[in-house]
Amino acid sequence: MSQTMSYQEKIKIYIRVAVILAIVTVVEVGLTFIPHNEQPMKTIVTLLIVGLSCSKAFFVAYYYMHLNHEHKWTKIVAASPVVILIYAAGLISDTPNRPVDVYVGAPARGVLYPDTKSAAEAHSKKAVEVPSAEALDDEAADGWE
Amino acid sequence: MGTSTTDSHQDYAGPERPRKEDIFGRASHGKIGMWLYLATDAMTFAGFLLGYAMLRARIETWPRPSDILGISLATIMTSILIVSSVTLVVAQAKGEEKDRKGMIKYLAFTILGGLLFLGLQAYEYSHLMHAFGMSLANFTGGPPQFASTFFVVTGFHGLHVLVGAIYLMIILGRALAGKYDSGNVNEIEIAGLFWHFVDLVWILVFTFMYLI
Repeated sequence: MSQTMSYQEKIKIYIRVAVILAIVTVVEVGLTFIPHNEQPMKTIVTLLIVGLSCSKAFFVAYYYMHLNHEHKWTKIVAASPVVILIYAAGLISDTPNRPVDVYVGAPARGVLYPDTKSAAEAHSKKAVEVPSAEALDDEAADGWE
Repeated sequence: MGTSTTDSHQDYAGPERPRKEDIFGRASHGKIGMWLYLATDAMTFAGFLLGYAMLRARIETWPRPSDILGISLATIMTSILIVSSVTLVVAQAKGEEKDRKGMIKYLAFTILGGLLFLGLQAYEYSHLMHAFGMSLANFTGGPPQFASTFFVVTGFHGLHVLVGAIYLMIILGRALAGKYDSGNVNEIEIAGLFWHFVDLVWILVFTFMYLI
């Protein structure tokens, strides 16, 4: 922490940041009351809340954790967890290619099931479903004809 | 170096020693160590939140969190953690000013905030368990993954709050013993890094698990 700032200056900054955090929190909670079940409001409200939340996290790290007074390498270490975003991007982009069965016990999006249990049963049956010998024979016969 | 450096060492509480200027500036070993630890801890939390996001994105019947979880209670919990962060930086500033009484008072407020947060979390868990049959594997209001991810993420965070409160109690004990009377509050600053990190993570947990 910088020793050059006076006590009063430090306290003033801390209080100011706390007020900003409080206001942003109120705005975030307020945003959840806006109806956002349908697109595009759902995406807009979600992005706004996530953006505000990230700005709050930045304020805490920068002013309360004193990153503003730290050297470059401390800042780089502090920012290093952001690399997980690259992993997240890869994982999310790969999601459509994954078989639903890796999430056994949960109905997948786009597939309607009355409840979770039946979804799990349906998925597990689907996973081990093997065509019968007769069906294969019929298929083969169809192919030759 | 020489005598003047040796003298300045005596002002330092605990095993910390002033370092030569390098790529981390003059940050103490303890501070660099804490930052490295926090970076890894942040990745753990990021992994949890990513797992939560992946599950939620795939499950059609995922309920709206605000229909199940108490947003107002979580907002109060968020405010408590933010205020406790403020009281801790004020304690540090008081320590730098050699205001022993003020430093101890604000350290105590911070610990109180942490314990209050834990108390409210225990109340929240108890309510959710009774009202929705929530446990690590069960949930009557939707897919069980909702309850599993909720308890894993908030429980892991709660564990951090508990550790942070114990850590600050040790720091308070050292403050009462006069370890920081010289105005060297390096240890408070390192403990503060952990505490503010806990606050920072909660800000994100609050957003992802309660608000959106």
